[in-house]
Amino acid sequence: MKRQKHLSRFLLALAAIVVLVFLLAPIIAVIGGSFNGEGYFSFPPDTWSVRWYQAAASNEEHLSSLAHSLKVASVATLISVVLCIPASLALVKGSRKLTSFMKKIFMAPIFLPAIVWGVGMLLFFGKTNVRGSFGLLVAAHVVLVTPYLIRVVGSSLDEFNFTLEDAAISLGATPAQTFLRVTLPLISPGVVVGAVFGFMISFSELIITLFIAGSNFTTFPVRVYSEMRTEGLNPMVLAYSTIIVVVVLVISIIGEKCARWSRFFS
Amino acid sequence: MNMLLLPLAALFFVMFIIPFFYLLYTSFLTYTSGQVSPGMPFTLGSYLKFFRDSYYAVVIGRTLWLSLLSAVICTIMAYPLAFFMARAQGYLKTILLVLVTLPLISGVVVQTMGWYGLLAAYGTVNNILKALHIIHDPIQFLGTSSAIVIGLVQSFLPYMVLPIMNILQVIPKNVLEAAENLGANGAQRFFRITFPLSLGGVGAGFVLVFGACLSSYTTPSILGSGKVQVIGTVVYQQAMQLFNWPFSAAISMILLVLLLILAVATSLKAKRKAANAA
Amino acid sequence: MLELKNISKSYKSNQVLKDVNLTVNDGEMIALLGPSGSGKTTILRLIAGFLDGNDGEILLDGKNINTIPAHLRNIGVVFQDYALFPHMTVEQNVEFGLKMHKVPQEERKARVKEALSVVGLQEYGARFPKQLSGGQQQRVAIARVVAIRAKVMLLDEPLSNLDAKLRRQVRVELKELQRKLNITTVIVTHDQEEAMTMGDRIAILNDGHIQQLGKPMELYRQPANKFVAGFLGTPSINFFDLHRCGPATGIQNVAVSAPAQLGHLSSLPDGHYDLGVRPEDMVYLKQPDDAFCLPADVTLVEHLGAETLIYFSSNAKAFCCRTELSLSVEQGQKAWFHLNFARASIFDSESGKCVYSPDSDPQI
Repeated sequence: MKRQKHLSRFLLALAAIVVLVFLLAPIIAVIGGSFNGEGYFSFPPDTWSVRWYQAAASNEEHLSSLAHSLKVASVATLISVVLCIPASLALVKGSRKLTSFMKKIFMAPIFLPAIVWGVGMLLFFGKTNVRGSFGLLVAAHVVLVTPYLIRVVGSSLDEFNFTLEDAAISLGATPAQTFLRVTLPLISPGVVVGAVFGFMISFSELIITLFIAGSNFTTFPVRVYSEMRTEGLNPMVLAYSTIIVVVVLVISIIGEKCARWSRFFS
Repeated sequence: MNMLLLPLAALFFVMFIIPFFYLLYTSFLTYTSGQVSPGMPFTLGSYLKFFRDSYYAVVIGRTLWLSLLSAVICTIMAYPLAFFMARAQGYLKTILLVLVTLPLISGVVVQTMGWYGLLAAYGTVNNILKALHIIHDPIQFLGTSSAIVIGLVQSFLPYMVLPIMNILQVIPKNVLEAAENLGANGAQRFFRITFPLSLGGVGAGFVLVFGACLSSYTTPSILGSGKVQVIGTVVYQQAMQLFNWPFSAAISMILLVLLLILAVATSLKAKRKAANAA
Repeated sequence: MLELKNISKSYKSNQVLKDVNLTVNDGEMIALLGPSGSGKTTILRLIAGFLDGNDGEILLDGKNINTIPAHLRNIGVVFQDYALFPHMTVEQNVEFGLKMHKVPQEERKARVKEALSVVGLQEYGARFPKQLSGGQQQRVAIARVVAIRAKVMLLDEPLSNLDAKLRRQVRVELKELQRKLNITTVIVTHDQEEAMTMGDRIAILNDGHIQQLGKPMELYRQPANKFVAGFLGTPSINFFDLHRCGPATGIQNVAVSAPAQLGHLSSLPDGHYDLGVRPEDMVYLKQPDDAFCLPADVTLVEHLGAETLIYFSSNAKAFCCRTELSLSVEQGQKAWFHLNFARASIFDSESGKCVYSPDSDPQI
């Protein structure tokens, strides 16, 4: 009886490990391949070297695309935070019918195909003079990032004790003071988690950016994608990706440990 | 209070709602080859072209099939991992959660790069197979449907693992203890209690992954090397390479209809389930 | 002085308050007592300003505050869950109201110190709310109100979050504190013991109406209707069927053979009444005697130490008698009870209104 239990436990763990390895196989390949000394992809590496990291540190084009990605992600996340906090408050306190409808709209970017949205935007803005502009790209990314922020901030507000607002008012605070001194400080951990989430989603986004970014403003994912289609795999790109994965890993560990943020996925 | 919704709603209206309606509008415009901008009159030409040309029926069928296959394989693979994670505690749980969400957050481009390297003719999988003397010449994985399925399954595994894990965690321990107390052994407890109770999460994950596979672009584009066309790649090709906007729009609308059918079917099933439970 | 004049309030076609009138004198502590849904919390929220849209007037020292927004009313509220700001220290919590009232910094420090010492928490200024016990948190909440020198203090179910032992202690402390500060106070509660011990006067509410307003013992001894009689006192009052027909009187269908004992009861006009006799106004007898004795079957006996509760049934109705004697009564035995008619109240069966209650005890 005991042996059966141990056996089934062992098999389960084995199956889980196999699936986990499959899940992480591409990332492992990317990390491993970045240390290949030769100029082609090889995993396991034929020779071990960090030359691609050195090359990555000085490659102008890739570095500028990285900078573009960081720019878009930070501006879009910031704007999204500013818009989503009042919206989330309204979703909690506003009239039932309107809020349930608006909530569906705000969450829609996760569920509707990016490719369709991308073509739509391309066509609609194609004839206007904002096409290819930084502003348009940022606006699109704000919409992209919003569902995550609404989810996380919404969850923070669900845990917030609204009696505290009554207490502040009874002590003389105006609604604005109540928001700034009581509500906001207490939901800001949630806001930070949502912002970090959104930043990373925006940074690694490909499809929308592919459609509406201007040709002189490539982001990192777009650049890597275009290169892959034309030139195949370039170990230097693997070096960049490895760095990104490591950064994401560190942030994820912090995010999971402090805020259990995996609960916000789907 | 409701006014606070206005700025965000306005942004969504302009950036999200209108483009979809504009796309709908465009799908009814006339395309003249050589001309980049489609024009009047309104016509069903694009839709007709879609239904007449059997090539596109094949594309839809292929997309549906690949998506179904991917969703099924994804479910089968996700369940053991989800089960294991549901029982994990403390640091192990945290690490597992981080690892499972890592592919999601690092982005689809990183994943596709990895698969490209693994599945290429000079890539890892072929090298391993050669080393084990299973094959002599490299197998061309890239550019096949199989490669796409592998890529899709891996990309969307987290979306399947997490819902299943969540629903498994919600099953009260004392329900299983009651079953054990009444004489059920481990396998019986799983198949008669745990598994049936987890089907809700399985269903939710399945629908999510299926829809995501139907809508996918990046993975089929890279791993299909342009040889295998799915809905997403056709939309891109028609829009960005052939500049047939109306046709691209029409296919997009058809994709949306497919997703709508999926959504309606799911909510009907959910309503029926709720009615039965009540 | 706080006055509520003809206050009515409706929520979506449901009238929660119906013409409520109440005056709270300076320095007085009034308890608003009632079951859930009676409207007492609505009154509290109306006074504080969290709710509006009512008919009638709320006057503070003669001034109508109906239209003054909540944050300008300077009415202190101590919430049921204390509502201390978790991200601020005790000192910052108490200082908050002063900042909002734009009190200059020097004065703020002094008043915070003063408020904290009034509630006995001088040493706790740097602590955070989660480091304090329930009782301490309540005192910080009170300190917040004291600091802003509110004219009126509203307490929402102040004892309900405390465990039984702490309740008695806090009851006494709160009463002493209120007397010391001499602040006009309104307590909202559903617990009749809380209201009886803390209120200088009690307003009992039911169904949006004030059923009776008066000193605790007045309400206890001279209830205006069956609801008030039944709400105050544990175990609750016994209502015996009283039937008057001509010279005959029946209690629980038992004829009263010696009319002389009835006293004022014999002058009641014909009809059905409810005779309200409190458990402590009854005497248990093992054997009947010449006076009127109600025969009954003992259903349960509870020995509480200082007193014994005897539950009995008569004519399929259940009652309770409270006695200090530790008797050897047992379940299932037959028993007889004397009823103290001099202390009983009589209610009209149909309307529930009190038609007779004994004159107030000269000792009260």
